[in-house]
Amino acid sequence: MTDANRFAKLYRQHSVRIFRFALQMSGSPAAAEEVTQETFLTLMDRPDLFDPARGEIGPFLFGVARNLVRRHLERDRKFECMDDNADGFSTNEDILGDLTRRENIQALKDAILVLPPKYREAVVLCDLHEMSYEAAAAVMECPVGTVRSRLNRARSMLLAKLQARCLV
Amino acid sequence: MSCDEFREKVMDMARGRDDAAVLDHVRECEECQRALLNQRTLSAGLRSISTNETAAPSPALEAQLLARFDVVRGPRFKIPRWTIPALAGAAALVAAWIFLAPRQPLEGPLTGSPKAPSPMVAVAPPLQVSSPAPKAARRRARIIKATRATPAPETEAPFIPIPYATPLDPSERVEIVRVNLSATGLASLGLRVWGAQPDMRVNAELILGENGLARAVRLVQ
Repeated sequence: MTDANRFAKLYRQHSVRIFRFALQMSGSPAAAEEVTQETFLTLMDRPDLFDPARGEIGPFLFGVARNLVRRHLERDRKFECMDDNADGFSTNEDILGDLTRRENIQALKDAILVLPPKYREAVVLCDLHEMSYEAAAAVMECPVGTVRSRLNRARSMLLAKLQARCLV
Repeated sequence: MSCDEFREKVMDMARGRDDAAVLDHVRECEECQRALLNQRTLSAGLRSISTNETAAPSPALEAQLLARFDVVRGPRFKIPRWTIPALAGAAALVAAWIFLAPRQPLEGPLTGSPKAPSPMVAVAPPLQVSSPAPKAARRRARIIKATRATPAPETEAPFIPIPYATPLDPSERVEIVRVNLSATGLASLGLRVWGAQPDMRVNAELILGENGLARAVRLVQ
């Protein structure tokens, strides 16, 4: 198999997940496309950055994409972030809506997009991409405990946001 | 289990990790039961986003990246298709130049003395191409006659740099071509032949540089 074929196979294996991660983090298909392109260009131009001894190629690509997304978010502040201190552990509301309904899914997506980036990436990686805490920690370059606490916090903030909209 | 301990575990519980102690607690605590239900609802919503996601990068992106890959990581030393005919043409030009060069008087040194021997060329002992003494010539003629029936294996002299040629660069690609030269052709390469017959011809090999010009020569007997 030639290098070009290997690269094409790698692209087909990982590009969709990278694209969706960037889309869920940025909310912008154009930005997601740009991040996907830049991620694979990084792999192409600097293959030495990937060290198989440190892990698999998937988390490495997510790590590259994550840095590119954060750069994009800093450059292009589109969403007003939710207050970091919002208390999300309210249990006063009953379940009011079915979060699997299409309109409610969109509301949930919107709520994710206004999470502060460090919480947003925890939800996107752990819940939307179903990564283990360890894999997410490798991508987020932080300890596993930090991933857990950020995810916990992010979910509480989402609940607070959705309860405000009477979705839960 | 206290409500504080429950709060520590409710997320993992909602994400699919069963814990009997948590379940026991929520049976007794209505507030925590509601919290677990909310977390489970949130997990179901997040799973819906994940499973219903259809977004994908455009097909053009893959084509663009693969096209760039060919440029960036393609073979570094690809030999262009025109190289072989160009080299053949250059060799033909050199051969033509050697045969059509104006005849020069056969005088001067027997061998060329290179200004700067190239690392590509072995340092050769002076090549003696001279008419042998009559006695020795007769002996050699006998030897040649005796060995004519069984052709002798081909022997090659070391390459001698051509005096007026640009010295070879170590990284330069070269090509070796075999030619059949007249005495005049040898003289034009710096090899003077004393008392050579006008019709004498010898086999020689030329090292051609990248520009197609001869840089060194050796006789092949």
